[in-house]
Formats: sequence, C-alpha cells, structure tokens
Amino acid sequence: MKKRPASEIVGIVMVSFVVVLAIVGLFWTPYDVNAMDYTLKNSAPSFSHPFGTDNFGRDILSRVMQGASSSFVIATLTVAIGAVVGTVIGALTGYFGGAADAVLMRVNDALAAFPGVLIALVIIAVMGNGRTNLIIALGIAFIPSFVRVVRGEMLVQKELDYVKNLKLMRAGSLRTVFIDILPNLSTVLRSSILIGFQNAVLSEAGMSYLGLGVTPPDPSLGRMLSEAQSYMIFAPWYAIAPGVMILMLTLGLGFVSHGREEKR
Amino acid sequence: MRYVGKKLIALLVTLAAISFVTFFAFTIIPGDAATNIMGMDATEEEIEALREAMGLNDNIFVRYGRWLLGVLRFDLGTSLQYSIGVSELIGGRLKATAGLAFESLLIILVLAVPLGLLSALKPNGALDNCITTLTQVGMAVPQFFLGIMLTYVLGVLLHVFRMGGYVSPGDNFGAYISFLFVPAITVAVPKLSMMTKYLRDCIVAEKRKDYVRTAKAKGNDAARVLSHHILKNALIPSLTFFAMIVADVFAGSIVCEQVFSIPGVGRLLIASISNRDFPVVSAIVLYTAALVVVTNTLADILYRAVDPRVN
Repeated sequence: MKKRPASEIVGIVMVSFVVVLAIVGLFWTPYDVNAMDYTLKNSAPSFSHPFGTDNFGRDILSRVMQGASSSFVIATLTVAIGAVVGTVIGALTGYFGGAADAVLMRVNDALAAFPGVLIALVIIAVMGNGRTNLIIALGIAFIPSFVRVVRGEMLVQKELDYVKNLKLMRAGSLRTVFIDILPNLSTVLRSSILIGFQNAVLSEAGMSYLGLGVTPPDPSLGRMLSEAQSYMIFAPWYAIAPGVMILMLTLGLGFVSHGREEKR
Repeated sequence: MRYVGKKLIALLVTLAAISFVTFFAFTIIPGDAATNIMGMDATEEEIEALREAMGLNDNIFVRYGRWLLGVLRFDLGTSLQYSIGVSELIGGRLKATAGLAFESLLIILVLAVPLGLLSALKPNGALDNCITTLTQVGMAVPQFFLGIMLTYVLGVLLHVFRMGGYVSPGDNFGAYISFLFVPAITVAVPKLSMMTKYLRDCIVAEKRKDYVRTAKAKGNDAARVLSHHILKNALIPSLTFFAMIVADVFAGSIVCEQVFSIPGVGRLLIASISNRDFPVVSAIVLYTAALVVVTNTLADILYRAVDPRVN
C-alpha cells in the first residue's frame, strides 16, 4: 500500500471536523438554535458567539452545527437510496441482459443526461415541498449514475472465469449476482459513493438555498446563506460560516476521492 | 447517413416519451386547472361546468394529444399566476438565460483547453498540482456561495459590480453583456474545473500511447506531437463531455439567477414551483428536456463524424 498523499489527509481532517460538529449538533448546541435575542441582532463574532449572530439574534454556531447534521442526514439517505436501488437495477440488468435491459438502459441514459438538480426540482414540483420529499427526489435523481456504473462493471465481471464456473456448477443466478459478484464491485462502488455524497451535499445545499427542502425555523446551511445574502453589507460573517462549512465538507470529500483515484 | 437516421428516430421516440411523462406527471397532481381558476368560493357545479368546457373530463390520451398539438405550435396554455400565454412569458425571460448560458460556455471553452494542456505538460509537476487543486476547489464550492462571495468582494469591497443591475439587451447591449459576466463566471467555475480535469486526464492518457512514441521517433518535436497528434485525439471524447456540460450550465443558471436576481427562465421556474403554476413548470421542463436530448444527439452525431474509429 502506497503512502497516503498529503491532500487526502487534509481531506480526512476537513471531513472529520464537519462530521464531529454535526454529530455533536444532533445532541447539544451552545445555544438553543431558535432562541432569539433582539439585543444581539447581527452581532459580529465574539467569545460568547464565535461565529456571530443572525438577523434575529440567534447564535450562528449553533445553527451551523444543526444545519450540518441535517445536511449530513439528508445526503446520507439520498446516497443510500441512489446506491441501493441503482445497484440492484444495474446488477440485474447487467447480468441478465435481454429486452428489459435494452429498454431500461435507454431510459437510464436519457435520465442520466439530465442534471440531478433538475430531476429533483421536477419531483418536488409534483410531490410538494418538505424534507422527506427532498430526500426522495434527490435519491431518485441519483439512481441513474449508480445504475450505469454497476451495470458496466457487471458486464465485465460476468465474462470472467469464476462466474462461468459458477454457471457450470448451476449456482442460482440471484445468488451469483448478489453474493458472488457484488462484493467484487466494492472498490468501484466505494468511489461512486464518495463522489455521490459530495454531489448530494451540494445538491441539498442548492435546493435549500432555493427554499426547497428543510422548512424554517429548522436550520439548514443553504437557507442560512440565502437569508445571509440580504445582510451581506454589514454582517458578512453570517454568510461565511455556513458557506465555509459546506465547502469544507465537499472539498474534503473531493480530496479524499481524488487521493483514492491516484492510488489505484 | 443510416446512423444519423437511426439517431433521429431515437431522438423522436425519446422526445415523445419525455412529453408523455411530463404531461402525465403534472396531470396526477391533486387540484386541477379548473379548481385553480375558479378559486375557493366556487361551488362544485361551477367547477364541474368549467372542467367540462375546458375538456378536462376527456380521456387522458385525448387530452395528451390536444396538449401535444399545442406544444408543437408553441401554445402551452396560460400561466395561472400571470394570466398571459406561457410561451410569451418564457420568451420574455429567455434573453437573460441565453446570455448567461452563452457567456459561461464561452468562458469554459476559452479557458479549459489551455488549462488542461498546461496541467498535462508535466503530470504531477508543480503546475499540474496547482491546477488540479484549483479544479478540486472549483468542483467542491457551492455555486451560490461562490456567487455571494463574488458579489461581496467585487460589489461591496471593490465597487466594480452592481448587484441586481440586470439590463435588457434591447436597452443597452454592452451593459447587458458586462453585467452578466460575473454571474457567468459563477456558473462556469464548477464546469470549467470538470472540463479542465477531464481534458488533462485525456491528454495524459494519450501521451502514454504507442503512436506518440512513434511520432516522436520519426523526429517530430514535442510541440508538434502535442498539437497535431495528442490534442486531436484528446479533444474527441471531450466533445461528448461538453454536451453534458451544456445541460449542467442550464441547471447551474437556475441557482445563479436567484443569487444575482436575474429575471431569467430559471428564476421563473422556481417562482412557478412555489406558486404551483403548473402550465409554466411543465413547459419549462419540457423545453429543457428537449434541449438536453437534442444537444446529446448532436454530440453523438458529431462524435461519429470526427472519429472514424467509432462504428
């Protein structure tokens, strides 16, 4: 095993920082996230409020912590839906082929050509706004990329000798697909999941910036940025805290997946 | 030629499928157009009468056919919120979005090729590492955060950019172009980073191939091998990649129009989703889908035309 490149270590540190803040934020925050203090409206960072306060005098650090955990939960569930459904569809169609495969791949290619945010927007428009619908919408939007990766890898694997052997031994095909072949896709899947997770965090932030997804007063990093925009001139720190938080998470994930790519 | 014909048929089938899915999706939503138009005070009989008059009680395929005929004549009904024709409404917003998309694509094209080349000159050298790190940042930064920071630095600190200063191209074309420049950078940065990285990887992969060694052995100098042999082969796959970027640029401009208060199609789409103005939403979705599918088909055909190996 080669030494980890420096950027991968930086990436791990950045992701861990946000993850720790997010996990702590699930259970404890320095202040109540919705406690308003009108005497402290838009105050600059200080010892009592390290990231400052917002236009309602709410503590930005506390809101960023809980916003990060909500981003994290949404991104995790999104990738989980995309990866599980995408893997099952990709594995089955890749292994069995036939007419169903041909039709499904047409549909999948057409869907994969669309930017994920656009698919998610359409689904939200039809199903309505809200956190659960956002998770479903983004999850569906992430399925095509996983289908494509798993199917492509399946086409390679099924021609290999061990799979041909299993066929000769009359092993059940479902067993072959999910128990014998799938573990061999773990490396490919892991890097798709990392990239997917980065995309999911970005998409969630984008959607909540547009006012879709997490509903106020629950904190969300994207929505905080859209509120902060109005106070940019005299309270720039309001935008910087949630923005840097998202950037640290996505950039950290980018560094980690880039490092893995280099190692292979 | 047979290939082009096959591609065009596939294009028509895909477009038909997309139009049906779009129509169907926006038909199953509870609360139809008649209810929306009559409002809360209307009695059930009045709504039912309007429904009958609007043809909403017909079979779904009949309604789809009628809607499709309208789409082909650019007649997509009336906006529930603005009470004007949907095509007219979108047409009015198109100038801003088209300018934004065009400027960002131009920025991507002009910068990606030299940056990718520079990066690939000496893989893992100082310059390559520097550009690669920048592309990593470019791909990771949320577009709206980049936009907000650009407006803060250029607008609040340096006073060279005025927020919300969109000008219609008919009024002052120069101001229209120059205002859209900062938003265009915002839309371009993530895609520019992706394109640069993709090109770099393509060039590095090509450099290792046998034909490069042969070309060098024949006495060609490095610059000529790069421009006449490697770049040609590396640019072909980038063509398909660029087609994908066209769709992404539109998606990026949805968020970006919101950040910079640009009265474009993306902003109209978000407002229409919030106001449940479904004739507008379905029209924008349909036209965007058509744009994506047509661009991809064109890229496939072009790819085949420039690369004789693909058969």
